[in-house]
Amino acid sequence: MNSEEWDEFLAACLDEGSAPDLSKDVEISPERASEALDLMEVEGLLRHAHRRDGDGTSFRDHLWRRIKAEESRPGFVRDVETALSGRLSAQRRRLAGLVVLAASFLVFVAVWFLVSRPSPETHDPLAFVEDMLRPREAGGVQLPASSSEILAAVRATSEELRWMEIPWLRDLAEAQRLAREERRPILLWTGGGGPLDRSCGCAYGLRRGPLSEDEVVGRISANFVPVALDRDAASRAAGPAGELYRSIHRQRPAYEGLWIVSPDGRVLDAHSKPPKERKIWSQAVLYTLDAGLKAFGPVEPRIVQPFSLFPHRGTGFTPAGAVSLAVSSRLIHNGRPDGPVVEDGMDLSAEEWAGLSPPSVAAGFEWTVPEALARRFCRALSPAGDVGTMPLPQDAKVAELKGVVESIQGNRAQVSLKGRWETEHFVDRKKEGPIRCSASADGVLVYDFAGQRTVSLLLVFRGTYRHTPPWDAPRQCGAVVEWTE
Amino acid sequence: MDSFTQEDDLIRLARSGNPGAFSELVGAHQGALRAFTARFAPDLETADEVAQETFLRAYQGLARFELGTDFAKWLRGIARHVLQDSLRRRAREAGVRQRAADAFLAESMARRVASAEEGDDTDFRLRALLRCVEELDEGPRELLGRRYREGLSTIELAGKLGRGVSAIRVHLLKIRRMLRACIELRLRKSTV
Repeated sequence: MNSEEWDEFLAACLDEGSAPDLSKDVEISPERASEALDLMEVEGLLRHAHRRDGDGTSFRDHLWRRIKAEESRPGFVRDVETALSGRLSAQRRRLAGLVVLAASFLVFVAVWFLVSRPSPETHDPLAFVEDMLRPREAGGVQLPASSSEILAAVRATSEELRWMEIPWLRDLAEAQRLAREERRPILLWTGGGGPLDRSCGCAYGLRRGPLSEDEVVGRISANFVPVALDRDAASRAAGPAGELYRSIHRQRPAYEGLWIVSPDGRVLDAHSKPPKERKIWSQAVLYTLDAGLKAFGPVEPRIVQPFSLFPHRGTGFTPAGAVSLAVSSRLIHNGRPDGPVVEDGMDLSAEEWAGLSPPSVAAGFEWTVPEALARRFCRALSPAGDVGTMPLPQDAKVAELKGVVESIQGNRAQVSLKGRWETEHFVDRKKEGPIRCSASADGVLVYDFAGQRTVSLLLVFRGTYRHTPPWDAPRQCGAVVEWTE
Repeated sequence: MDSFTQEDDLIRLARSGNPGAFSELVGAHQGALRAFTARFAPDLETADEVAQETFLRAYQGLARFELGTDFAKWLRGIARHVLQDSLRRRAREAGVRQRAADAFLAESMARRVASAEEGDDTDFRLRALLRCVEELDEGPRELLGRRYREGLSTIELAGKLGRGVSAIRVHLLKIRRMLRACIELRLRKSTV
């Protein structure tokens, strides 16, 4: 290969990112190989220096999605724990060596102490659930073996919860203020019942479809001020926010969907009907987002820091002392998921929450949870996302929840819970029906009697769901209600 | 990050499950790491994939990081392994498709990454490159701007400038050679 041919070969390598074919008898000398590698490095640095995403926003967003996906993988936390336990083992060996010299009895005590002591550096939000499912050698509560299977089948995967990574607001006036301040368009999402909670069919489809697609999540988070509203409440709202909502619907009327709105209230584009071919739904939404952005003009992409859309769901207390139990329900078949998950919250006031606590903490004490409170758990019986198909407390024909204090360890009482429910109702309380649900539940509640408070709750439901006739063949479903302090 | 101590605090927080702490670490190191991977990877997509994988492995293996040592160096160590894997995979795939030159260059680059000295000079090279670009005559500088800043392909450039694709490619090659010589000179003088 003469120098001219080499230049052409090298120029093509750098331009196309891969080397053109060479005939078999042509070899690249070490000097030429070294030059090629040097120039490939220069090319890489030139491309890096002219990146369009110089601030790394999309890189970081993508990384966070990958990390979240990895965290939901069962082995993930254990990778970290393995490393930690390796370090603990080294400490343990050194300590044990010293103690053996003193007394074998102390070795036993020291090892036992290290093994039983939880590592302060591990972080596993599911630890309490696993603990409750673990068989106990003496006393305590042991849930039925099928509980683990239902728990695994019902709880949402990280892919199903991508829509929660979008920083949704719930206040149109606040969204408008932010849109003006940040000079970006509003993305309004409405549905019957509130799209972030139990909602109507289309909002639910968007939630588990396009709004959980990486590209859509990234595009919305970086460019829009997203706001999600219950269409019925928003259309009746008084004041400027209500006026703005009604103006949006006058400009582009639709029952539910997505609207892209400028900060001054002009509708730039909208998406209200899913395409017949569901595979292209995400593309259709992206097309609407891009058209809205184009109509709006240049937008400075923003970085969305990790946040929790439902900071109190399933954990902790609201400032008023209320709790929001995390509810997941789903159709299951032969122990496997048989449809999308319904992620929901069940808010209990401080008084209602106190009603779940055992009136006495003597081992063996049995009691019945007030029926009004037991009825509140009806919403866990429906595996359908539509709020109209969900049974309400007044729809319960049977609602029983009983507790037994199984054991006391230190200041904590382990309480087993057993319940059963049967409901019957018409869709939206007036249309077709009836929808019939029945379920039983087993659960565990841990009560700290020194602090006089419940510190964790897990209820696993198994039952059947019958939709309206003629689609009323019984279908298996499961639900998980959980909370930890 | 003005000291390892502050960084160690962030690492402790990240180990305890604080996502904001790891986010700060990513923010502080992603620029340098992406430059490092871009320098050796065949394209920016591969470079970013390697950088993503590096941060992911770092997150999973935070417990193995020795506090008080250089976090950036630790990250580069992970990146070097991921890069080598990626380049060797590329070499194998090219070999299967009987693209011998491609396989040879990918394998050679993997060896170069493996033998790269631990004291990384990517940041120095990047700053030197930018200075060298500034010092180019207007014609080559404008051509580089249209190729990289505007993202025009050589075919588009050839159309706009009324020249052949091959001529544009070779012209760009000569500019890169000039930049390489300029960077090496600055490295020898240790001045940016």
